[in-house]
Amino acid sequence: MQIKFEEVKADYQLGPIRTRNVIDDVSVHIESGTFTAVIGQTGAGKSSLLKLINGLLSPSTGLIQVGDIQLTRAPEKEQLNKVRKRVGMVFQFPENQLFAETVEADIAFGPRNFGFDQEQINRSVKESLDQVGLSSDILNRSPFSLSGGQQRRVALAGVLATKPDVLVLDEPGAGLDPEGKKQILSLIKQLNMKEHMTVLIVTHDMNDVAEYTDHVLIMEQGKVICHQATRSFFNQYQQLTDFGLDLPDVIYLQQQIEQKKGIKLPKVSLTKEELIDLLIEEQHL
Amino acid sequence: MEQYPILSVDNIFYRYDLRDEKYVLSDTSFDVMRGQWLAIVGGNGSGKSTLARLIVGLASPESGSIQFNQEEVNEQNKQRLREKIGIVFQNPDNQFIGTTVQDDVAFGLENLNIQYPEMKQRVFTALKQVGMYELRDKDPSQLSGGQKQRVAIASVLALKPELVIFDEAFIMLDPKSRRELLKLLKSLQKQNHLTIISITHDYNETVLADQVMVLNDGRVVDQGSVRAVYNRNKDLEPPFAEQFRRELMRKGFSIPDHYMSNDELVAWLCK
Repeated sequence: MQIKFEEVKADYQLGPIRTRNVIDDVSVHIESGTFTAVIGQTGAGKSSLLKLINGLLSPSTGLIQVGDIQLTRAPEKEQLNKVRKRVGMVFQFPENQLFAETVEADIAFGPRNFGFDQEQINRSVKESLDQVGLSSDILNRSPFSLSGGQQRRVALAGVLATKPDVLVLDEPGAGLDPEGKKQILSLIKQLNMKEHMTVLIVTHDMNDVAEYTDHVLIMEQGKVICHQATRSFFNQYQQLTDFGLDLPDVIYLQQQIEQKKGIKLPKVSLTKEELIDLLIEEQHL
Repeated sequence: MEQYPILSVDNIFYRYDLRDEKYVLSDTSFDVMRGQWLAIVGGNGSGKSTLARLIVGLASPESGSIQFNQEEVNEQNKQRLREKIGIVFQNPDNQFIGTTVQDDVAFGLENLNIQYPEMKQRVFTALKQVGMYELRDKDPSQLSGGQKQRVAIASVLALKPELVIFDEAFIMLDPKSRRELLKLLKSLQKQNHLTIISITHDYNETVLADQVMVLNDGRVVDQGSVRAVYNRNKDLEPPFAEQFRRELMRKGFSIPDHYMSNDELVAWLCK
């Protein structure tokens, strides 16, 4: 499901004092089935951008299109309901939102609210649990008895159970140990590849950007200052410094090898395997 | 320099509730020498943060002892000892008190009855060190996550503690500010003999440590140099260079089978 922003401005209006636009004239086209990393400093508008996609924040001017649903200033309730069924949102530390007595009840909460019948609910609970790689023995356990990584997967299952076409996640790996983080990100990648979900994640970690995503969207002070395919973005890695970003570890290593040997490899590697293959091809190994 | 450790944790046991069968920490013992940087690693729920809380006296072990400068931490002296031990938590949001950044850093100093001129000097130095001096008149609540974390770190540094514990205190920072702060801490460790305990999942942080301790399920399963610990614990996520070395070995290259730092790896690849 594709997402289009057309000249969108948005802010959080609290009382008579208007804040500056947290989203300031954004026009961007996110293609169906892509996996986009949203990066930028804190306060750049990353989370606000995600909230616009599922109608938690409405534009003050401009238009947002999610598939064939259109969102404008003061959208109708019907439109909001529609878009929220299509866009699954996973907030930062989503395990804090677990509330039910059992894992099953927690996951079933979303689909039930969206009017699934009991049979559909049962099926979607099972399917989503399967998608996040948890076994059905935990269905009757309290979500609070699970480990942090498992809790996060249950929270994700709760979102997947509503069968969204678009998944937006705010720092899905934050606070997890390396193993837990790897699992959750590979899982999201699989959903993107196998189920063709359109995915947007907010992240600070350039290694994850290189390893998992296919598009990069950089925000600065409410504006989108760069939207590129991940590979071509890293190909011009000199620009990362201009944006105040770090190189992924693998590019940093490639750069050090190039400097020390006084060579220039023909392309930029985004994974360990790629760098090894490249070194073999160019007969440096 | 003294021969005794600045911190000595001896055989402590701890559980949240006496009715629990499972201990969060069991039979945990280790020493930290003055001026040393100890990184504590381990999975979620391995007891790392609980250990930090016990060291600063926010909770007491069920048995065993914690000694700071050869003095056992107890109810009577923990206030006094805490003046020498700083801790920075993961989320700085809940620890702001002042209406401006500089007031906030000064708060801890006021509590210690530091004279005004010295207080001013210490606030200035600490804010300069973390790169927040320009924003000293800002309201802390309007700062970004990373800036807040820096103010929290400045507040602790201004107290001139002998030991600082960072409990995943850098995760909200963007990579560039994180690198700058780690560099600052390394220089404080060298120049002022600051003792540092950093609880972390980030290998960029562990490589700076003199010692790495591995906690698993509330027990110390290993302690040693970065090199030794990653050599012995293959299930820990190692620094990137070591990951790369293992990948090369797996693919059958005749690379030496021991831990390699980034520089060593680059040297081997370019030989």
